[in-house]
Amino acid sequence: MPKIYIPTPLRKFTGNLSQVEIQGATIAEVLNNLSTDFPGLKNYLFSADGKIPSFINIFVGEDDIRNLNSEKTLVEKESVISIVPAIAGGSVDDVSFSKNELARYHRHIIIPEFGLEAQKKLKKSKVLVIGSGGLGSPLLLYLAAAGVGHIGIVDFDIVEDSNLHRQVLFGVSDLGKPKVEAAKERLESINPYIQIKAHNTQFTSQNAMELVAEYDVIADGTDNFPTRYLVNDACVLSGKTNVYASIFQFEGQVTVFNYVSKAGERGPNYRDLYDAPPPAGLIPNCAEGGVLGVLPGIIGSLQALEVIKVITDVGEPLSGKLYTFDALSFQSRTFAIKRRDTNPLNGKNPSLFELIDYEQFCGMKAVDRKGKEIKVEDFLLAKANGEDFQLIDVREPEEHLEKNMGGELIPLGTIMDHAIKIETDKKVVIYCRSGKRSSSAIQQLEDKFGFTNLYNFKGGILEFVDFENSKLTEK
Amino acid sequence: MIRIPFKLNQDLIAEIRSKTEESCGFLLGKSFENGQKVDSFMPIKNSSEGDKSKLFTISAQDYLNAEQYVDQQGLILIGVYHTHINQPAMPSELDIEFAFPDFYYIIYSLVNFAFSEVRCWRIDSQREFREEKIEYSL
Repeated sequence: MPKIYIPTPLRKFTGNLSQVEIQGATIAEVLNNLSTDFPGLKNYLFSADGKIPSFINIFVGEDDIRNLNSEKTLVEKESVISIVPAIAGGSVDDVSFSKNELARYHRHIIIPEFGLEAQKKLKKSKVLVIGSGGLGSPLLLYLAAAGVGHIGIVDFDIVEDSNLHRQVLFGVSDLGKPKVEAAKERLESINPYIQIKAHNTQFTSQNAMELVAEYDVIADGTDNFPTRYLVNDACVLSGKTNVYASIFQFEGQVTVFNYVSKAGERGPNYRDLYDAPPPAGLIPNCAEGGVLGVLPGIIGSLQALEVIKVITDVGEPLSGKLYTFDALSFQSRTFAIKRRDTNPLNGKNPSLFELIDYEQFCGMKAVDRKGKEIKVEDFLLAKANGEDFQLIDVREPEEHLEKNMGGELIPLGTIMDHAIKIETDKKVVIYCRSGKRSSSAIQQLEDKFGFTNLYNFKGGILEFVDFENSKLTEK
Repeated sequence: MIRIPFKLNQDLIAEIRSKTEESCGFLLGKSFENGQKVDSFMPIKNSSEGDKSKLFTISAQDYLNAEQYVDQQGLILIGVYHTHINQPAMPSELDIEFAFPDFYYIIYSLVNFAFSEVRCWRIDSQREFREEKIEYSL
């Protein structure tokens, strides 16, 4: 009969015998008979699927049966079979954590449903956050704090004082700095174990595909329709998940677009929810319509939560569901969103295969461009210093007669026809009653003729009169 | 629970720090009422055919030699130590796959070959690693 060598850890099951003799013509037969004679061995010789487990090596003579015929290897009467624990292992994971990182993320890691696995996925992931404003602030803070390994930020804006009531990423010392740079600095101070990449540019049809390609998950924190359609289309065309949030005054929305479930089913996207943009001007953005500062804090945090769930596969992401939150009534509701056959990106008859001009599609600008301005004090100083500039009044003739600052009259309605009268090689200051019409004039002139030397007189004639009056009172 | 003399643990750390790749070896000792007591360790050549900065294997021959040695000395094989380089001292999937029931697996984490942490693990009947307390003795 074949002899079987038993290793020390298993001898407790064989009555301390180091060698036993067992009948059988193949390894499989011998092992089966062995575990019949010594039932305690069964769990060591066979894994749940009936195979020889990885932690056991079996030798016939000098040869590992994996190099012979595995379980079917024939044995002879005089064969010596050895069971030897296979001792192997190693640190094969490609994501590693330092001791400090493990300490940092300890409270994540100890959640049973989360654990080191989810933390590893976070560290490995690359998330692109588009817009570092009201939503982007809490979103970026929490993604960075949670340990998302690579975060990209796209924004072209600079930090302004009127941002600080909701954009908690920034402080007074950041005023005037590009948002992406101020954000990068702040996030690096929170978490030195992650990489932050600042893309100080507008997200446009020209750069969208290239930017999105670098990342696994995209989070849309933008504030206007053209960019939302753009982010959506870029994500669908690149097969990336788009974690979406938006806010307006007292209401917020969150959902996850273009998410592929574990079963391989792709969820709806922005175009399934809104097949066409609203008429231009119907829905104002935060700059125009206002927003309660804490609302983006709440909604951006929910967005961060969904990003983390998408990355880690923990829980059920808000795919196919639109969550809405009303801050005034504290009501939240979740609506079902379904994919539509008419979706031009991935419906029955797709017609969109590349990015388009989204400002044209939505009939509105993605960005409120802020032109150059001149304050009344600076204007008077420049005048006193004899600086050479052209002054234009875009109000109506009767307003011009009533009170003017000596500007050339070209009413707003006629300005495009009289563009030839406007100088191109020196400073041109344009004014109206409050600064609104002159701003519109500047935008039109810049868009159509490419002027770069136009300055809006801040606050218009009203500001000028106020200033004059205050000077009078001082005297 | 596993009990290791403090000095022995320090010698072991010095040994693994002297290597340039993952190192491995056996822990030899005796049983006592609350667990196992390590008396000595036996460094073994890393026979992995893969990337030795990440993987280790103890050959069957080295295992059999070690077993013969402990038999002669009246000791037992308590378990195996190995290092994780720039990785935490937590079992990898490969560690779990190859974990032999009852053996104590001590993992030393080295960061840039400086000692970072040590933890001890044992596989349970569900094939999941459970952490074992390490007690240092004089």
